[in-house]
Amino acid sequence: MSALETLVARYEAPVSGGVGYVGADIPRELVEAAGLVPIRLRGTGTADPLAESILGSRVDPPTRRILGALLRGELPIDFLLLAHDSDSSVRLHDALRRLSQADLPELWFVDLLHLPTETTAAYDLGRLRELVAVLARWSGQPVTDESLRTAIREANRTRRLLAQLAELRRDSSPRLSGTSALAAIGATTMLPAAESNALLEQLLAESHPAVPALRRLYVTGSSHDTLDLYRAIESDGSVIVGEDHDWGEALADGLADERDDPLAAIAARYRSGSATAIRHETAARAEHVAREAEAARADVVVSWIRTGDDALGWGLPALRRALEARGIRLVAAEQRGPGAESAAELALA
Amino acid sequence: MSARGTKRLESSTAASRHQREWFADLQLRVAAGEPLAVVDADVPHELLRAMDIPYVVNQWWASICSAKQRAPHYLALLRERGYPDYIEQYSAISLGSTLEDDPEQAPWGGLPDVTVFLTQVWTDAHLGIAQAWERERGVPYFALEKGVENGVPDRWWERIPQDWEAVVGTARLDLMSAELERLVAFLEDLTGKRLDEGRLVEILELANEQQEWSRRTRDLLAATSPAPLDIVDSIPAVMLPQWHRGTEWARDAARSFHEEVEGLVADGSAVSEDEQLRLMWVGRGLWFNLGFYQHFQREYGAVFVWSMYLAIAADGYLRYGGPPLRALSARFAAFSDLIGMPGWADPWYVKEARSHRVDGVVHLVTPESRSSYFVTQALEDAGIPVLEIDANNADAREWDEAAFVQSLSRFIETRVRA
Repeated sequence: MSALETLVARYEAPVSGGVGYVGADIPRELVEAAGLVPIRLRGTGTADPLAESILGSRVDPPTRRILGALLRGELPIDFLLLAHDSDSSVRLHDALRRLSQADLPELWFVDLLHLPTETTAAYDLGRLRELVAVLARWSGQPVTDESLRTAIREANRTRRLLAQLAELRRDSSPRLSGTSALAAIGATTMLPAAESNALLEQLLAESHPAVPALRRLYVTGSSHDTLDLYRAIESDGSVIVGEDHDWGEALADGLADERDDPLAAIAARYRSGSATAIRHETAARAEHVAREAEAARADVVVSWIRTGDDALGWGLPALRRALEARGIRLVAAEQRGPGAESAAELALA
Repeated sequence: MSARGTKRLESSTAASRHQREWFADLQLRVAAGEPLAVVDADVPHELLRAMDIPYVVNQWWASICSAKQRAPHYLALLRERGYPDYIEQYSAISLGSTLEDDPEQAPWGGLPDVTVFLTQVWTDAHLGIAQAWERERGVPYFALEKGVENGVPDRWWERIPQDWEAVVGTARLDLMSAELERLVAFLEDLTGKRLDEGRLVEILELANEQQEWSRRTRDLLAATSPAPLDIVDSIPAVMLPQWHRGTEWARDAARSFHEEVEGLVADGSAVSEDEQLRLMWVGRGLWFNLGFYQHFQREYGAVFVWSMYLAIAADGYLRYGGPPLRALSARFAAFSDLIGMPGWADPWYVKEARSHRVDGVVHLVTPESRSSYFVTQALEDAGIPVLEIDANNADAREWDEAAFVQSLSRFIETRVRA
């Protein structure tokens, strides 16, 4: 089995146990430093009527599906961490806390915020200290500076390898489809970093035939924790050569400073360097997308915004302007449902 | 059915009259060179008052645009520029109003030139809206974070006036206090105005006095049936002074409102000659149509005796003691939790429903409603029937009046009177 096949298999069927988490803002380094395995949860499966009622139609569908899976007891995790990535994940936390069912895993909300200010930085550091105490209680072992430094090094190694993986897609003849890349990247959020790194190194060492690209697309907007949309888009010969959402290559962004105090380094990385950090900074995100799309030689940028994640629409005028300046076409698909409409509906032709 | 409610109270019409006069004066002040802030409802207005910076509350202005039936056009103007017109309309309409292309149609002559926009980022859209103010109008913004706690305080409404440090949480108070210090520096740089700390202390005291009057009024109305007034009267009588919180006028308006209600109670005056049912309106006011409340009064003797506006004035604002900026932070760091966070909001609505002895609840569920499932469930568990209405309170474009009247009529007939 190739490394890519192994990663795709892990993406489709993650291991049981460990600390399930929702949101790219959960500092995996801390979880691993506590001797626990962080496993990012995906909102797969079918819609659950109770979860739909509790969260309502304005919460992003993947989040509603995670609640459904939790209520049905389908997620084999020991603990649950929730991040402040979006309003949807806050609402998931609010609902779970209110439900407080005995059969739900013990949960903790990691309230990391993102405004580029010292006040937010101090707040985030305090919240990380709380998290360290929670993780130490869960694992029964202290989180030491040494274990933190090791975890930071491994996490940074993952980010560097993911950046190399992104280059395979940006090649003039892409070496990976967007669908394969999305699965491989996603798998790294469900494995211990050392295991991810070994598989990524193997993947990068393997040879990959060119993927014919009828057109090259760059995806922004909502995150995609399933392969559905990518498969639909790529079914007509298009190739997704990059994306800035937090289930994709944006996970390569933002190295933690290995020379700094470890907790301060983690705080700084998640406040300003994570994919979430620029999610709602419309001008900064527009420039970032335009720059990355150009670097990936994309013909078209697709901004795919689901109902429940609609606030991203406030960034579209800035994005349109930034792309126009570079001669890149924007296809904006707002108020999308949870499913994967066909590429034809995107009017890409 | 008229789109506008009929006001009977002098305190309500006086508040509306004052608002008109205040706005006309505001336009003159800004024309003469004064700055103007547009601020979200959950931003500490008291700070602006203590700096003598005139401000307009974003959501109040949206309600005026909506009542004047201009909101759909303002949303269309935003859409023309590529912004969403289908999310957080209540917070976006004011920006759209500044793009007005027919000045003759602008409500109250329109917003004067805006100097700064202030928001708290308690949903994903708030920062995007703030950035759109900057991009479209060249208006700088200042955003406050909205932190979230892991715990939920028990019976917050009993403890928060005095024990706010524990109820809101030290981490969130540390954050907002520090942010308010930054906000003061930002506003001083921008406007040249200075914070008068002695004035801030006075403003906080006046604000507490105002809410104490609201608390007495709320308690009196809860204990009185038949109801001496409905929410068409109580909403302007409490909310217009709320937007002037920290002034002697607002404190006195709250007292006048209480005295007028006391007089009505003493006279045995009733808003409905034949009160049969007491209803509670949970959620934001339906600003583009305040007339239908009275339709149900006529048809069923059903009086809407409760809205959150008086009740949250009574329970949500009081903060005693502590350093001024920290006490002010305690008013706003958890404000949206009080009326919208599961675990905070649902037991409060049940408490209010019981104390007002309501027979049924109409629950306006907007897309931004965060606790609607739990609020409805808690009220139903308490034996109080609930009708959920899915609508946007400031955006009439998809409102189906006939369907709503039919739905509420059926609810009254089959669940409330059953």
